[in-house]
Parts: sequence; structure tokens; C-alpha cells
Amino acid sequence: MGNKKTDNKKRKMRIILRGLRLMESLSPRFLLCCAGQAVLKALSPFINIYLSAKMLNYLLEGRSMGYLLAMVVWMAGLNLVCQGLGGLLERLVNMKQNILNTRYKWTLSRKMMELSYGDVESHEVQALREQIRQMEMVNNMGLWNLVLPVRTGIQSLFSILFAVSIFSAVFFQRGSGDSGSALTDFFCSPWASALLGILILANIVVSLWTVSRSTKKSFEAFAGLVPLNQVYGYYMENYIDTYHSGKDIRLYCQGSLIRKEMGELLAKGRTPIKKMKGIEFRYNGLGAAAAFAMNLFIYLTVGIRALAGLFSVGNIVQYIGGISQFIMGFTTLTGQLTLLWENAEALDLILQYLDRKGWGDADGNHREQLSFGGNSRKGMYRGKRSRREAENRESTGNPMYRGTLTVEKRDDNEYFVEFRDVSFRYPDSEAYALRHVNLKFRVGEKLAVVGRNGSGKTTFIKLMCRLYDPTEGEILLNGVDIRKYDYGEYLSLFSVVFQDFALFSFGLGQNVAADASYDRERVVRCLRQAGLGDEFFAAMPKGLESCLYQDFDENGVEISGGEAQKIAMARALYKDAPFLVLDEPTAALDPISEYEVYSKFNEIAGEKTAVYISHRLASCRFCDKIAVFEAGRIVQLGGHESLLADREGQYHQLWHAQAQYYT
Amino acid sequence: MQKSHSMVNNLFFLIRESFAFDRGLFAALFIRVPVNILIPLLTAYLTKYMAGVIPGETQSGTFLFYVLFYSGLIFLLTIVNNYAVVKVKYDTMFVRLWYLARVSEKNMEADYQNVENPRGQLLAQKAKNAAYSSNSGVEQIFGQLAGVFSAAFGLLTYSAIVFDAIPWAIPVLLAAGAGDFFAGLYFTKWQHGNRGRWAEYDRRLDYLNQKAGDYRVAKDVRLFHLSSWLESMYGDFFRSRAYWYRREENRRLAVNWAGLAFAACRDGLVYGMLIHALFAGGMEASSFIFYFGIVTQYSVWVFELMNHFVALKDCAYAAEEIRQFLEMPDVFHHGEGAPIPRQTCSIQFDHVDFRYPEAEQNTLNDLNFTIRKGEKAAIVGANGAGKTTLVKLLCGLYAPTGGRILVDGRDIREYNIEEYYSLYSAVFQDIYLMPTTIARNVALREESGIDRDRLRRALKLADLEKKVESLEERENTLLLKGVQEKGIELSGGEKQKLALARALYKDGKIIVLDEPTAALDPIAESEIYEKYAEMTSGRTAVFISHRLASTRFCDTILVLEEGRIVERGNHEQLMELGGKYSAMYEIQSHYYREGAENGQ
Repeated sequence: MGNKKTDNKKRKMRIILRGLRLMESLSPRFLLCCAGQAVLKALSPFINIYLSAKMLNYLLEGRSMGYLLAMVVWMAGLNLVCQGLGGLLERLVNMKQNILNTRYKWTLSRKMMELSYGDVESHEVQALREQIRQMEMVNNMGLWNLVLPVRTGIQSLFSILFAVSIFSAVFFQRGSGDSGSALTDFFCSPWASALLGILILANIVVSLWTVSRSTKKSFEAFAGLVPLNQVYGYYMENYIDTYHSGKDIRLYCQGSLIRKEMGELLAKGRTPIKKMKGIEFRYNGLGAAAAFAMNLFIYLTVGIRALAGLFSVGNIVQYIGGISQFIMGFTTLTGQLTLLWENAEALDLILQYLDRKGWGDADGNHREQLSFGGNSRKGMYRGKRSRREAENRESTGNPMYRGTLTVEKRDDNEYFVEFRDVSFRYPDSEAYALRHVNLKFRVGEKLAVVGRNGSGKTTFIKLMCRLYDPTEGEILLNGVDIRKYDYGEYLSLFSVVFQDFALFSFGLGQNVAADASYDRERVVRCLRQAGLGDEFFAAMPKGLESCLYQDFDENGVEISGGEAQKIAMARALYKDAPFLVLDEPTAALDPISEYEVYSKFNEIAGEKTAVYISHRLASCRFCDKIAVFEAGRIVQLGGHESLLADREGQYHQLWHAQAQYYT
Repeated sequence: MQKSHSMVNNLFFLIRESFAFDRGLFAALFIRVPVNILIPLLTAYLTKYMAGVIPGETQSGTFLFYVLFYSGLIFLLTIVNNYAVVKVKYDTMFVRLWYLARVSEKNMEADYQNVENPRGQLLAQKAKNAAYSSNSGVEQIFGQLAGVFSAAFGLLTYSAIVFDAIPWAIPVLLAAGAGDFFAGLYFTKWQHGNRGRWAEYDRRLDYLNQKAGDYRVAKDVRLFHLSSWLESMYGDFFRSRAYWYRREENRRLAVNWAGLAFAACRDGLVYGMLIHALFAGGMEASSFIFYFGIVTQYSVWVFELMNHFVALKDCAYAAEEIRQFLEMPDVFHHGEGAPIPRQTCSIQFDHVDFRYPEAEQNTLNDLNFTIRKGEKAAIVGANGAGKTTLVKLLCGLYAPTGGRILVDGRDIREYNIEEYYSLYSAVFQDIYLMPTTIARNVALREESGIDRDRLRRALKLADLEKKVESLEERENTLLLKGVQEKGIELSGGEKQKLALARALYKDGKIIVLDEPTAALDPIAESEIYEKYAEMTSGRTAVFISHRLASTRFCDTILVLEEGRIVERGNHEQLMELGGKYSAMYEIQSHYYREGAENGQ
């Protein structure tokens, strides 16, 4: 039991330390600047406390006006210097915090681009990301509640140090014990000093206890809000707020149901919120009462000792000021430490996410560095140590085997691909999506993949492009298991237009080249090849620099679904890979555009190996080979005529379901 | 663009509306003002008392009494303040959620065209953001009001105290305060004035973060090695953004230093005056310490007044954004309307034009046609011909910019629009599910209002019964896995069926189908055609599809080209006509006919 507790403490300490290291690597010297600023901030109130006490003493000693005026000048000057320097450091801290913020966000997003595709799609990673997002959105947990406690914590730590140095003398004074008043005698005795010490300690204990209790309890109450918030947020952000569902909301009069649903959520949310309110009120009150008792005792001790002549009245101001700074510093420190501690679990989620292995990690691929902001960082946040820890954690997710074999760049483009008894099951699923698939095709061949929804067509493509590795069996390129090739190089063999392709709200040319710089002629050639004509180019206000969509640029071009599909096709052509894969490229097109794509298909594909998925079976007639999928298996394989001839076959059924209307 | 309101007007709006929602909050709010002023004041008096004790003369009993009195008062006030602060902190959240609910209401009830167009979306987005987080103005107003009133009354009280002893300090304090105030104001003005220039980079950075982190683009990212491109863009945008960070921080520092210079002059002068009063006017040492504290607190009041004032401006701004959206005028009739037809009804377009706001051309031009009672009409045409726009006009989602639409012989603007919507059973290509039970998703009402037999029939007809039976909670199963902990995910085909079930349950008089089969395989598509034929019997139906095959079961086909109807008739008539329709049909059927050569 005790051991477990220490282990957990050690774990949390490690997490916090790693969080700090991550922070340092994202924004070097941010912490140092924070510490500098914190010292100055802590120092600043003591200038007034110390000097005003001194002034009062001068006054009581009856010194001349010149002394006092000199003090005033000192005070104004010291404040100016201390706060002026503080401002300078604040500027640095703010800039570094901006860098931290920008890089941190990108580190999270970039991780998604580095993970294996299976990881990206897995519920585990998605749930992890959602958790991180929720935490950050709702109460800044994660990196931000590491920054804040560190900044304020350092400040209060120094406050405490300064305070102790100006009031510690109180403890070492003692009266003669013969003042004639029991009250005075008591407050001047060492017993009072001891009691004062005990009270301060007790106050520290009480404030530690209340803060950690109340934080813990609030977090518990808060946890009850998270699932409610998730549903409520979905309605707000993804339902009511998007005009797409606005059609349904109106035509199906969903308003009253949504109102009801959200009302229920709010009603459920009131209980935890009421609880949190009660907790905060009670514990704040308790803290205030403890502070009151202590303050009172301090005032009395200090005041009565001054009355007894143990020190001058001016020192009352100094001692009381010092002690109140001490208490404030202490309350803040305990609060921030608790926050830091509670935050460790949230921080751990972020580290867990960042620790996941990316597809480029095992094969020693050089990861590109973020190149902005001046300092080049080495190895992102992964120092050697954190890397080791990451490995100790035994990375979750599916560790895809990463080979290093280079893909032979064959001048003759003589590639062939073979699926050898391949079965596949998605990581989160029990059922097989593909079963015992055997297929062989060589370069230059045109392969069509047809079948019903959910028969495994897209999965087949994903396996071929190595977005997933087979659960059983193997896929061979030129007779070698594709897992043995260098991953990046293997992917460079494929140009794919997925059904849900993504274009970006940046320049047209960049979108086609998938790069910041591009070969203009080649971009134009590919766009034309994909079927975009003069009319399209005429509508581009800035030629290839024209921005797609109007997210950022008022002069951006709103392209139609058909045009978008053609641009995606041009991107695939620009890549000029030996394999061209098209996943339902005509779904969004009208009959005329569809015809254009069909009729130019051979021209587009040229000498390349093409794989083509479509629900419109008419398009399959172009292909040398048609693979018919049913429930994860290839049930038929062959040319159009021969497949159609098999009256019992799935292909015959699919074909006639569509053709009946046309004949 | 509606006219905007003044800051005062907006603040009154917030106060009025919030007062109507929660009066208790205002009580808590106004407790805080005197407490905020009294606590530092009492502390100053306590310090004064303590600095004024005379060793050897003051009795420790008297001393005990005074200290107990002052610190007891301070303690009580702290407890009261704590209560008010906690109450305001949590209860204001409900006020905010209430504003949020009103924005949602408007989002759901406003004319669709108002929320669909980019301007409306922007207004809606801004209104939502104005009430979306605890930092937003509608929640902050309470704290800020308390702050402004505390600072203002504090300033008055403290001015009176200072005036009593060192009247000449008042102009110095005010001048320094004004200097601080205007320097601060200059800075916020500069921020507001330039915000637009860095906001564009912020938006791009957010966009990149969102895209790069989106699992839906993950395939393209890997196959086209998009990460290096996206990262270089991120770096570029951040460099541009950092330039503005630097300028902002430089100004902040300059303003900060100017404020410090003012403060140094102020302190030097005022403390100097105090010392002068002390020596020349016989002020006591304890009063010196007292005024010393008062003067320090005085500058805190000035500082807070400025901060809260600037923050109040933000609150007013938030109110403005909310009002802009809430007050957006509607076109359709939302009040009591003509009686809704109870039988199958006819549809007539009478010289209907439509132009999207800010578009240069009409999307639909002078449409004239009638669909008779119980007739099934198909609308075909190339991408961008205006088919979906036409359907949206019919459903009352857009209002025509010219001409009128008559349903059952009456201009649809005469009907109450919400009642008018009840006529339709519509299935669109994109389907959105709510994070609630299957039953609620189909019937779209709460449990007590659901007709179970009708629900079962709808599920059965939509071929969803088997799936529902296989679930442990059956029709009470929650949907949406990522949102509901126990939610399940439906496949594309199942979603399509659910949309169909929903249309069946609603059993509207007019059926509208906008490309509902684009993503389905041939067999599922064919099955759905059959279902629709069954579903539309005895109803007026409008059907949009790219697959011309599906139009054959329709009584009449409208061919749309560039916003005009170019052909009309049934399949045979149009084929005979040999125009656009037959050309499209030929192209599509070409490959399905026997004898067509490969690749020709």
C-alpha cells in the first residue's frame, strides 16, 4: 500500500519533469525567463514594505525631512528599476510563450501525420485525442496547467523567502516578563513565539489540506460533467451549428427534440455544478477562518511586543507586511502545487500520445525539423532519456515492421504485385474484412475492383498501399514481401485518389504538387490531363496561385465537387508514380463529366498500372481484369465478357441491377 | 447589415436580459462593491491604529479590543465576499448557457437561407463564440460591472480621504491615472485596430492544425507526403504571425514603461507632499502611514477602473455580436398562417427566379412548371445546373428572389413556415444523426410522443428491423460512438436506411429525394428505387438523380440547364425528342448495352 503510493508519487514526479523538458525543448529558455520574471514580481511589494517601515522609524526617531525625502526617492527609483526590468522580462516570457503555444499545437497535430495509419484510425488514439482536447478546452489541463503553476509557484516561493527574511526576527525576541500585565507578559514570552510558529505551521497544514481536498473534490464533481459536455458540445458544434443539418432540423421539426435533449443535459449538469459551488464555498471559508485566527494572533503578538518596547513601532509595519506576504505566498504555492499534481494525469495523456511510435521512427528515417522561430531544435522534445522512457513504456499500438530495403527503381517499370493468401481484420474489430485474398497483376495492367458496399474493396486498396499490414498472408512486390521495403519509398510507388480525398485552402498549384514549390508546366499539363479545360483556367483569378475555397482569401475560388475531384486526379498524375489507384472517381459527377473521365481513362493511365474501384460497372469495361469482391473474398476474377457470361455469378447480378434500366 | 448599437445600449441589453433571467445574481453583485472598498480601507485603518500606539501608554487590553474589532470586521466581510464571488462564478455560467440556448434557437428557427449563406454563418459563428466560453462577455459582465463600480466608488471615497489631508495630491494622482489610462487605451486601440492583420495568420495556423490532425486526411498525408508541405506552410505563417507578436510586445513594453515613469513621478510627488504635511502641518506619524497606504491603493483603483472599463467594452462587443444574429430579419412567415393542406397537393412554380446573395447571376431563371397532385417528377441536369437549389426553394429553405411558388394553389409564404415544413418527407445525400437513441432519431420526438407501431413499421419498411433487433437495447440504442459513451456507429448504407425510416415515419404529403443513392452499390441502389416507388404511392414526389435509369419510374422529367428548364416530358417522350435528355441517357447507357466495344 505504502509502496504503491510512493510509486505513484514517483511516477507523477517523472511526468512533471518530462513535461518541463518538453516545454524547454519546444521553447528554449522559456522557463528561465519565467523564473527571472517571478523573482522580480515577488521582490516588488517588499520594496514598499521595507522602506515604509524604515520611514516610520525615522519619523519616530525624529530625523530630519531630508532623510525621509531621500527614502521617497529611493522607493520610487527602486520600484521603477524593479518593475521596469520585470516588464522587459515579461516581453520575453510572452514571446516565448507564443512560440511554445504555436509549436505545442503543431507537435500534437504533426504527431497525427507521423503515426501509422492504423493508429490514426484506431479508437484508442482518437479517444486519447478527444480526451486531451476536452481537458484543454474545459479547464486548461495539460501543458497549460504546467506553465501556470510553474510561473506562479516560483513567484510565491520567492515571496516566502523574502517574507521570512524580514519577519524572522520576531521569533527571537523575548520580554523581561515583569511588565505587570499578564497579557503583555504572555505575548512577549518565548511561549508566544512558539505558539506563533505553531499557528503558522497549522495554517500551512490547513491550507494544504483544504486546497488539496477541495481541488480533488472539484475534480471528482467535474468528472461528472465531462460526458454531458461531450454530447452538449456535439449538438452545439456539429449539429445546430452546421448549416448541413439545418435542412433536417427544419424539415423534420427537430427543434423541440433538440431543446428537450439539451435541457435534460443541462438539468443533469446542475448537480455537479452545485456540488462544486458548495465545495468551493466551504473550503474557501475554512481557509479564511484559519487565516483569520493566525492573523489575529500575529497582530496581537507584534503589536503588544512593540507596546512593551521590544522593537520600534515602525517594525510593526514591516513584520505585518512580511507575514501577510508570507501567507499569501503560501496559499498560492499550495494551490499551485495541488494544481500541478492533479494536472500530472492530464499531462500523462499528452505524453502517452506523443510517445506513440510513428511510421518513420524505427527505420531511422530522419525526421524533419520544424524550421521556424530561429533556434533549430534537435530531435523535438525527445531527449535521449525521454526516448528511453518511451521505450520502457512499451509503445502501444501496432508496431508495424519497418524494413529498409530500397525499392528497385526499374527503368522498365517492370513491377508486379501479388496478394498471397491475405486475410485482414481491423484492429478494433472481430470480423475479418478480407479473407484469403489471392491476386496477381503486373505493370501496365488495368484492374477493376467491384462489389457491394462493405465487401472489402477499399480495405484491399489500403492494404496494397500499406496503410495497414495484413493480419495473415503477405503482399509481394516483385516477389519480395512489401514489409521489407523502406516505408516511405514504398509509398512513393502509389498515386491514389481516394473517395474522400482532401484538398487544402491554399494555392491551386501547391495543391496539385502537394508541395510549396512546383513545376508550373507540369501542373498545367496534369490539370488538363485530368479533364480541366480552358473554362476552368479562365475562372482562376491568379492562375496557379489562386487560392482554393474562400476560407482565407476573399478571392479564393469555390470549386464544385466535380472540379475538386479532377484536381485530386491531377495531384495523383503530378506524383507520376507507377501505380495509379482511383477509388470511385466519378461518384460526384454528372453523366457528361463521367463519360469524359471514362473515355480519357486509358489516356490518363497511360503505361501505368491502374486499379479502379467503382459502383458504376460501365467503367469496368475498360479494364483488363475485374476482381469481384463479396464479403471479403475475391469471388470472381476475369474480363468483362467472361464474367458476365457466368449467369450465377455476383458480377452478372451487379451488372443487371444497373443495366436493367438502360436496356 | 443591421445597424449596430452603442456600447451603453449593449450593456443595458445585457443587464436587462440577465436581470430577467436571474435576479439573485445582481444582489450578489452589489454586495461585492461595498465589500471591495471596505476591506482595503479597514486594513488601512487597522495599520494606522497599530502604527499609532505609544509604547508605555497604550494599554494592551485596549489594543486587543481594537485589533479584534478591525480584524473581526475584515473577516466577516471576507466571508460575505467569498459567498458572493463563488455565487457569481458559478451562476453566471447558467446565464451564459441561456444566451447560448437563445443563439441555438435562432440557429434552428431562422430562415434556412439566412444561416446557410456565408454572412449568416459568420454571424451565427460570432454569436456562438460570444457566449461559448467562460471568458466570453456575457458571463464576464457581472465581474466587470462589480469591478467598475468598486473602482469608481473606491476612487471617490479615497479621493475624499486624500483631499482631507493633502488636497494637492488629487490633481497629481488624477494626472498620473489619466496618463496610465490613456497609455493603456492607446495600446488596446492599437490591438483592436491591428487584430485583423494577425487574425488571418491565426486562422491559417488553426486550419493547418485542424487539417494535419484530422484522421480523414491521413491517407492523403501519407501517400502524397503532405507533411513537409504543410509544415513549411506552418513555418511561413508562424513567421508572419511572430512579426506581429513582436510588434505587440514591443508596444506593450513601451506602454508599461510609460506607466512606470508616471508612477515614479506620482509616488515621488505625493509622498513628498505627505512628508511636507507631516513636517509643516503637524500630521501624525500614524496618519502618515495611513495615507501612505491609501495613496498606494488609490493607484490600484485607477488601474482597475481602466482594466474593467476596457473589459466592459469587450462585453458590449459580445452583446453586439449576439444581437446582430438574434435580430437578423426573416423572410418567411413565422406567425399564424393559412391552413396546411391535408391531402396530396400540387406544386406550381410561377416565374421563379433565384439568386444567391452576393452572386452576380441568377441560379434559377424564370421557372414555370406545375407538378400535379400525386405526380412523380424527376429533375435531371449537369452538375451546377441548379437542381438542389430548386429543391431547397420548394421545401421553403430558400425564398425565391422573383416569382412565387404555390403549393395546393397557395403562395407558400402565406403558410406558417414551420407548419409548411411538416408537409415534407425529404431524404438528402448527406445524413446527420443526433447523439441520441435510434427511436428518437427516427421519430424525432421524445419517448412519450413516439407511436411504437408506426416506428416498427418504418424500421421494417426501411429494412432496418433486423439490425435493430440484433442490438441489445434495440431501438433504445444510442447512436454516435465518439460522442455517447455507449453509442454505436452505423455504416453508410445503414445511415441511408435510417434516413429512409425517418421519412417513412414522418409520412409527409410531399416526398423529396436529393441523390439519395450516390454512394450505394448497384444492388442496394436498385432495392432503394423499389422502396421509394412504394413509399411515394399516393404522394407528390420530386426526385433528383445523376443516374438517369432511376428517372424511368417517374411520371414526368424536368431537364434543367443553367437554371432554366430546357425539356420536359416522360422518358419515352424525351427520348423521342432527341435533345439533352436523350443525349445524356445515351452516354450513360452506352456502356451497358451489349455489343459496345471495350474502351470506345
